[in-house]
Amino acid sequence: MNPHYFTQQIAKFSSKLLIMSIIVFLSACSSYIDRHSIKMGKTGDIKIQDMKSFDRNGLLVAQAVIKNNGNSKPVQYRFQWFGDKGQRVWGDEAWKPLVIPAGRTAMIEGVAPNMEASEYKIELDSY
Amino acid sequence: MKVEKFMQIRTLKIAFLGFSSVLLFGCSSAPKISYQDPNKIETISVEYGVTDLQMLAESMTRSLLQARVIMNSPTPPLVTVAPVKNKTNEYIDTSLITNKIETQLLKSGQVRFAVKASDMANQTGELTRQNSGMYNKETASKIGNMDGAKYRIEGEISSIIKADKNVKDVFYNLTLRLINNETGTYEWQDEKDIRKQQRR
Repeated sequence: MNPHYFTQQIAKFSSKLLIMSIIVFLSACSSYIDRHSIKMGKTGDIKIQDMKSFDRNGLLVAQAVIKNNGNSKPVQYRFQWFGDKGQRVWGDEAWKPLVIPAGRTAMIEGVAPNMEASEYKIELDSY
Repeated sequence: MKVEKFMQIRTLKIAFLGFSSVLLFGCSSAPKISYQDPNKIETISVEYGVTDLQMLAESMTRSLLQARVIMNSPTPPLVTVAPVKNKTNEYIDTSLITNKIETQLLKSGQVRFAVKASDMANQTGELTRQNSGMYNKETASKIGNMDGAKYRIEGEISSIIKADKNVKDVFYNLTLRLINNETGTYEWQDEKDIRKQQRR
C-alpha cells in the first residue's frame, strides 16, 4: 500500500471541499442579488456586482455596485421597500437616471422612506 | 376641343382630390392625448422638469430622515418649512419642492409640521371664527395653544448654465438645511446636484 495514500486522499477531499464551498458561496451571492433585483429592458450588459444592506440610525440603507459591460446607454433605477411580512411600505418611487460610462462601475444607494422597511429590491431598466 | 375639355376635367379632378386630401389630413391631425407614468424619466428639454423635482425632493427627504436630531428625538419633532429661494434664472415653482418634502417626511412618521407662514392666515382665521361666540366653548379650538416649531427647513436652488451653438449644459444645486429656531444652529444640511446636457 502506498504510504502517502491517506495523505493524497485527504488532499483530494480538501480540494473538493474547497471547490464546493466556493461554488456554494458564489451561488449564495448571486441568489442574494437575484432576490433583491429586478432587471428590465435592455439591461443585459448591466451587471450588479455587489449588493448589501445595513441599518443607519434605524433606517434600512441599501447599496449596490453596478458595472456597465457594454456601451454607454441610458439606464434608470429605483428601489422598492418591503415590510417584515413582504408588504410594500411605500409607493412607486420616481425613476432615477444612472450614468455609467462603458466598462465603468457606479455605486447607488437607497435609504428607506420609513422605519417599517426591512427588505428592498432594486429595479433596473433602460430608457 | 375634345382634348381641351379632357384636360379641364382632369385638372378639376386633381384639384378636387387635392382639396379632399387637405380636408382629410386636416381632420386627422387632431392632437393625440395619452396618460403617462408620473414616475418615468422626462427628457423633453434640458430645463428643470418633473424628474428633477422628484429626485431633489426624494434625495433631500431621505437624507433629512437620517439626521441625528430627527432620529434621536423621543417624539417626532415639530418642524416648519420656509420657502426655498429660487436663485436660478428660470421660473421654478419651489413650493412643489417643499410640498413634496413635507408630504414624504410626514408619511415617514418621523416629523410633524407646524403651519407655515404662508398658511398662517387660514389658521388664525379659523381660530378667530371658532372663538367668535357662535361655537360651543367646550369644543371650540382655543386661542393661544398653537405649538411653535422647534426646527425650520430652508434653502435655495441655484443653477449654472453654459451653452454654445451645439451644446447646452445645465447644472442645478439644491441645498437645504435644518435650523434650530431657538438656538439658530444648523442641525443638518445636505445638497443634491443634477447635471443635464442637450446636444443639437
